[in-house]
Amino acid sequence: MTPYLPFAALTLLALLLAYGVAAWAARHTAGAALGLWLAWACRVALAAVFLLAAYGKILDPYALASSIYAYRVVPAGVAIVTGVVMPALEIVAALALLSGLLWRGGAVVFAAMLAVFIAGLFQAIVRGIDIDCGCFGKESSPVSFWLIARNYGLILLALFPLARDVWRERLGFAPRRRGTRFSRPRAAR
Amino acid sequence: MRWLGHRLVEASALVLLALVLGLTLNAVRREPLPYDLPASLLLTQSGARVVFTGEARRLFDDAHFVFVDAREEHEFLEAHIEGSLSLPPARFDELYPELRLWTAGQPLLVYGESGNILAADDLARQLLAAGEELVVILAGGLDAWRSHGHPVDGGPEGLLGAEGSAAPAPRSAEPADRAGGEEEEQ
Repeated sequence: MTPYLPFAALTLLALLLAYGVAAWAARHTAGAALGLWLAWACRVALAAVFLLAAYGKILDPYALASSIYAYRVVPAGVAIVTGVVMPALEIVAALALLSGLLWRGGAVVFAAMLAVFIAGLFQAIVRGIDIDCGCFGKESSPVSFWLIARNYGLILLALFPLARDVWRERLGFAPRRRGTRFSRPRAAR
Repeated sequence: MRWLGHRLVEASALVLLALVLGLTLNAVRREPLPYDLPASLLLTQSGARVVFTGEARRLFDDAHFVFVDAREEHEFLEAHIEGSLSLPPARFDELYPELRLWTAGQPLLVYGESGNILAADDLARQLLAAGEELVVILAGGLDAWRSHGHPVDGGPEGLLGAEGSAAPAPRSAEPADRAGGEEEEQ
């Protein structure tokens, strides 16, 4: 487990840093129409990027599993299952973001995935592992800090709508929800 | 914290859905990715990708790929994939020029005896280093090919550098003929 600790710490750090920026932006647009438009633009853009990525990967699970394994973070079995499931997860979460059904869950999934990607890229660069990122299936580029920056941009797209959701509840723009979409207590309506 | 908890529940639901979807999709795929694939096949030393028997059969039928046998000559004489050429990695430098004359830049499929792809991987590495653009390795090697009932041949046809080998090679004149023809073109 110990070798994974720096990896987990990196992932968490990436998430926290990005959330700080997203929360700041969301706080300042919480009551404005701009915020609403921004949140929707973020969701649509993020979903589009990941649908594109999933399309490149879903046709060739071997190539994806191989490029995941090449990061030398997980054992072969985990890489294979991830290679099989990841494109499906990207599609499911993208549809959630677009449809609005469980969209917050979808945004959390993307934020977590992107944070893991950032940590994976970072450790590959630091360890000097020369590999293709495997980001979009065959259309891949070698790992670089540019890719980390790109993922940071994407993670902001995932976190902005979430942060906006939090701020609107906190500032009283939206009715406070005690439960999830499906289990809202009667008293709150 | 409560907010985060709800979001994590939603995210878990999506992950669960994706898990079911992904595993189902892999199960109904024409050639499902095996979950117990060894690491050496998942990421080869040479960087060449691995193909499975079904895909290899399609490549065989397309006749665009040239199949290259990475085993020893005497093994090749006993049995090999129909139409393949023999190129043991130990004699690479000596036999590769002759292979070039046969293949003329076509993509190559390399195979060994079994699931142990050490020899095939070594050959693939040398081929890629020599400038071949597309080299793939057959997972499971000749054993898997044979167990699926795909065409296997025996004998010296396809043996490169036949003069040097101990076995008689009646068709060794043919590559030489083609070699002459190729040289004229150049």
